[in-house]
Amino acid sequence: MSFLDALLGRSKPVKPTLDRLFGLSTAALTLETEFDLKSTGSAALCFRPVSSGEFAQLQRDIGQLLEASAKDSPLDWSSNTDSFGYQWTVLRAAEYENLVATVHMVSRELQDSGFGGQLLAAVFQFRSLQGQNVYWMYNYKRGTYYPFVPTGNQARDNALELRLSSVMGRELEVESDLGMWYPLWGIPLK
Amino acid sequence: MQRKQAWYGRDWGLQARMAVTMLLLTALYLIFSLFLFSTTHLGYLLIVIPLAGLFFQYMYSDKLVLSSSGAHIINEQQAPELFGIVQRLAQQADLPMPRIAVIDTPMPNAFATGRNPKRAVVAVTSGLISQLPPAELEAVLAHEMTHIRNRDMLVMTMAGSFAAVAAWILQMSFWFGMGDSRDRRDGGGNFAIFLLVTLAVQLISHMLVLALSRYREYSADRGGAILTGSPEQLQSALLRISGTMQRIPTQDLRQAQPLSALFFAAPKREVVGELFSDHPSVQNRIARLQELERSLARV
Repeated sequence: MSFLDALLGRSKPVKPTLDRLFGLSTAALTLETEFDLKSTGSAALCFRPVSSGEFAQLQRDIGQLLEASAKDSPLDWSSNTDSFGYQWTVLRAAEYENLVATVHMVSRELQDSGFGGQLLAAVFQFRSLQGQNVYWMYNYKRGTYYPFVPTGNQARDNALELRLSSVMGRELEVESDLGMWYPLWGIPLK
Repeated sequence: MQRKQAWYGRDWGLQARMAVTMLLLTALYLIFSLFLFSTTHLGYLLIVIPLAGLFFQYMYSDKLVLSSSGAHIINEQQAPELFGIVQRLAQQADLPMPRIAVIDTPMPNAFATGRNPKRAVVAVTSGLISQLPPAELEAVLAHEMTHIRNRDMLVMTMAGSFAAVAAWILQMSFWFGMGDSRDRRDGGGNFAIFLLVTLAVQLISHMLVLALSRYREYSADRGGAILTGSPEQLQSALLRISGTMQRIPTQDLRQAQPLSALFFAAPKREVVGELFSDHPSVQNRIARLQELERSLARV
């Protein structure tokens, strides 16, 4: 935010960075070879809905887009609202590349309709051999990724997260400010 | 693919008024310093000392404000829902997670303090948590997060310094008598002019600072509503809070008065009207938010 913006009190929502979303499609291979982490084929977008007819229309449009792309390749999707009033678009695809591309497509649709500022995070689910869920979170505001390993009630495995971030930092835009590794408890992915 | 505009436009009017107010303040300050340098030989001292005071105020005011309001910092275990709301807002606004403080009073209110986003504290009263539904609580918190993002603490301290310098000089002149004693007869007339100018500067800059404070409130309302995407929740929260505030006994309100510049809603309604208040009236704030809501319908 510029000095002038601060002076005039006109902070605007940060424009989302979308292109780096594709970074994860190659990183998935490293995650599997280095950490035995496999994608579950599930991902989700979390955004803040706007109370307007326009936004409701946009959501219907996104629904149609998803249905259209489901015809080309297998894709499951659902939508739900959490207790904070944020909306989750949950996606499930057999092909990992397709999953990342679909997350990008939905984000792009929101962005192109002028609601890009509402995007909070994209979440990609991975699972270890022991069945531990590991999430890679994408921060739209900064165009960065960070790991999130929830281990029960509001606790997270920081050691694993740090290890993941140091190894993945080589090929992924990993968030360097640990204060920005915001958790999202109760991610609606199975 | 055609790129649509974001759903919120720009409030040029508000920004213009803010810029003009700040320009006027700066001009006033420059003229006043010139006047000081030409009439006294104490110019430097007169500016350095209050500025040093302001620097300390800027560095420590968050602690002062927190302790004088009786706010205590809480951790995530004590209020997981509140933390959850603030955390998502912080992420949405691309801000570091602020500390959260709670004030034990039934009067619903909130304020943000801290000299930069990394040291920011958001304080809410227990009344706010208990009386507002979650969506409205979020709207109020988004307003406070926008204050942090706009660096209102810094801007208002800077703006306030103009008025503070003039006030300090006025005080010093009454204590010591500014004119040189070697020429009483001639100095007496100059001294009267000097006092008048200082008084005028203090008054005008005070009004300008109040105006600026009101504009920053509109700005935070707007930014907060954009952050949550639901201007109507903030309107509803404003109505709810102002309704409750009128029922609270005066003693409590007077206690809260010195802090009012930082509060979400002004605790006391001024009889003289908005010109002498650091918060816009609830009607005006709601009118602005409705304007924003209309732009939402027009997208």
